[in-house]
Amino acid sequence: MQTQELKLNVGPQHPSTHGVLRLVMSLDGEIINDIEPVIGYLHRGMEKLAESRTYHQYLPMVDRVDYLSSFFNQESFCLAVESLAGLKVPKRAEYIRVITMEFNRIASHLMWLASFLLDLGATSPLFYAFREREDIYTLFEELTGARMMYNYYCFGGVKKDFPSGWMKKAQDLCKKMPKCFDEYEAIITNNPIFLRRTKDIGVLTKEMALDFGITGPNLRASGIDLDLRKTNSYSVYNELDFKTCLAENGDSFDRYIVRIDEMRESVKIIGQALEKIPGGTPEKLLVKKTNCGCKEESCPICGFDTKLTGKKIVPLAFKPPAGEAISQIESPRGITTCYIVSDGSPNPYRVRWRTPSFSNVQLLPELMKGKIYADLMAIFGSLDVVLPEVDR
Amino acid sequence: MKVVITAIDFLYNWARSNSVWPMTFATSCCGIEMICTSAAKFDIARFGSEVFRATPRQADLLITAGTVTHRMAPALVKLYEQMPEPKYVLAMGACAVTGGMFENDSYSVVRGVDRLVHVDVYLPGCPPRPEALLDALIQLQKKIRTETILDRKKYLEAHKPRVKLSDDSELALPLDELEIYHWGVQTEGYELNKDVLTRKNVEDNCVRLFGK
Amino acid sequence: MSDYLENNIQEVAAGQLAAILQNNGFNVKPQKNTADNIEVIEVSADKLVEVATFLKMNVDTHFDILFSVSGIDAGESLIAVYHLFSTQFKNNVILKVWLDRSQPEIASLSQVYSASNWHERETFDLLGIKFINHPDLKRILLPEEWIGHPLRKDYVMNDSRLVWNKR
Repeated sequence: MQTQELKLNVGPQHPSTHGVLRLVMSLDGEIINDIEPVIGYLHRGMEKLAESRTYHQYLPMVDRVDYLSSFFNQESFCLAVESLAGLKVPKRAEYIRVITMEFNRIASHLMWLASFLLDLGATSPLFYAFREREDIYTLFEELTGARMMYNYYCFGGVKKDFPSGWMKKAQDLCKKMPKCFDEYEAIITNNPIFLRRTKDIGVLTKEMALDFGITGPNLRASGIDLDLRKTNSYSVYNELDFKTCLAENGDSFDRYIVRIDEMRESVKIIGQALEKIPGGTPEKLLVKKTNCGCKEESCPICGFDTKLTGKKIVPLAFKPPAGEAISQIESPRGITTCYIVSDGSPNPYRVRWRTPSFSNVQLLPELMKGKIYADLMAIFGSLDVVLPEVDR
Repeated sequence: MKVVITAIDFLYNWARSNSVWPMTFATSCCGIEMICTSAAKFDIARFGSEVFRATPRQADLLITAGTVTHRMAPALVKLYEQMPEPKYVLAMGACAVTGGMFENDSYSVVRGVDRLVHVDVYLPGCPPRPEALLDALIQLQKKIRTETILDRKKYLEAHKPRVKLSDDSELALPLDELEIYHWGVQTEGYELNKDVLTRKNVEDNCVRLFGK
Repeated sequence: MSDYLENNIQEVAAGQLAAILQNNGFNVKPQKNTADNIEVIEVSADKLVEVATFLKMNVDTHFDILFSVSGIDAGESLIAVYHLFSTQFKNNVILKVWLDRSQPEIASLSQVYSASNWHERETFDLLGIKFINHPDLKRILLPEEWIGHPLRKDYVMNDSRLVWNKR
């Protein structure tokens, strides 16, 4: 029987929520011979736009590099600028940053869960996951004023303190979350259809992962222990107690298990941070400050540690000294790096974003050679790719 | 005769406006708010948009949520042309309305979806809240109710795309017979910002722009 | 232009990694560290693949992940920047290569690290640095028919086919 290779185009607009990615596939029956991903459908020129704006004008645009984890993008940009300009961040601001980042990690992983299972055909986890995401979004809206693009961190700290009652609501949400995760696990983890579709599918070996520059939960699911919050810890992660989630095989099921575990660890981190924050709730802090009133630097109540920004910066006159800085943080998809070169002028000279999804999409042709077409979404969905990160 | 037509119009438009099925064109951040609108808290299905169709052949409404770049523009025009009449476009988010925050100096962003297709409802916001998207959908439903079936040809004329697609180029090319009128104030204002804004400068520029 | 973007004229003391490289016979010039104390080493264009292979294989350094390949437009020259990370020692290093602006060509690292494939395509797309022996060097983020390299400082957009998108 004569057969011919079929070129099929999974076009830029598709019903899954990964964004605009085009895959040109050469199929031989059901078996994939070759995939060529075509990206660039969302290239907005983020790196070039930085060169015509000052640092403060660029800060609101930083959220849009990866819209599901915008606190992480703000953190990496702010860390780089703070090491360039030599600004110290007070402890209270660091704790606020950690709390908001970990909530954002939970929201991002919930979005991943919803879209991964939607690709596999299950529609109900979408509604379950979005129920929790709406709770987190309501918290963020009270704190920062926006549901998705927060624009909350500034160079040297955060902009505003918690509103009254926020910390209690956050603690209640943290108590409720593990039960919700148990609900998801009950319908997904032991589901025979899910197991058949994801066990031993898309195995990523350790050598291949390191060769392609994969980081984050994809690497930890293959067995390599690299979590920047533990190894090169930034911010106040070295004062908090949590474990790194590892798995052994590196297939799609392990990537799912690692992300569910990470969500549980994030809840623990938030609980600890809400206890340990210097000063406690804003009302208590105000009372203590009026009682203490000594205004010395090293006082734990009214000194540097309980401020919100380190140094008052005049935005029009902010010129970090000439130099370069790289900041690396652990974002939900991997390690996000922001490399800034400054030449002493108010505008950055060059900003370079190294985003983890870029390497994840590059890995796709290697993982898919020789597999059947039905496994494409099971593998691609488990890699957690968000397209604006790829294209910037 | 017209009495019959208005009665038919009323029923026809009522049926169409209460079941507008959108198509997912989620490019960027606004896409997530669109998904939030279809989730349980802000349910878009109670307004008639029961399912989000993935294929343009079965959809009524194209919600362009997110930034459209030069590479994506031919895909959007092809999708629009594949939709059967009657069709509507809702430009969601600041990036789809005018180009948003990338309008100033991005080299690869299309400044507003209305340079490519005909837009019915504009929805600003970055990203707009789910309630705002529902409000825009209600406005679109009100607009549908004012249409008549006698004017079908006019709608067909308006729905022609505004750029030309070609087979060998990945870019959208300009149409020769269509001139897009830009508001002149935009270019003028940009030059104004380049000078230092002293009183003399402002007065001189006002004389130049508006005459005396 | 600050001396930061030109080849550093003054001598900087060699950090730990530069010392290891110099002890093994590579003629590299150490540069000023970044603001958070990551070592920056300047490598000449013809020795890049050997230095990268050495850094990957040597037991004292063992840099097994290539984070990114990018470029900077520095006036008279273009700089190619490589950022490596070691999972064993948990440290970073930045390699910089100064290239001539009229003929920016450098060997590709795709045999050493597979991650460099798409990063080099992106650097070619946005800055115009050509990578010799790259398996498939074509534009990745912009359409194929785009004219010019946007991230250069002298880039002006004057494509007549896109006149419908004028501000």
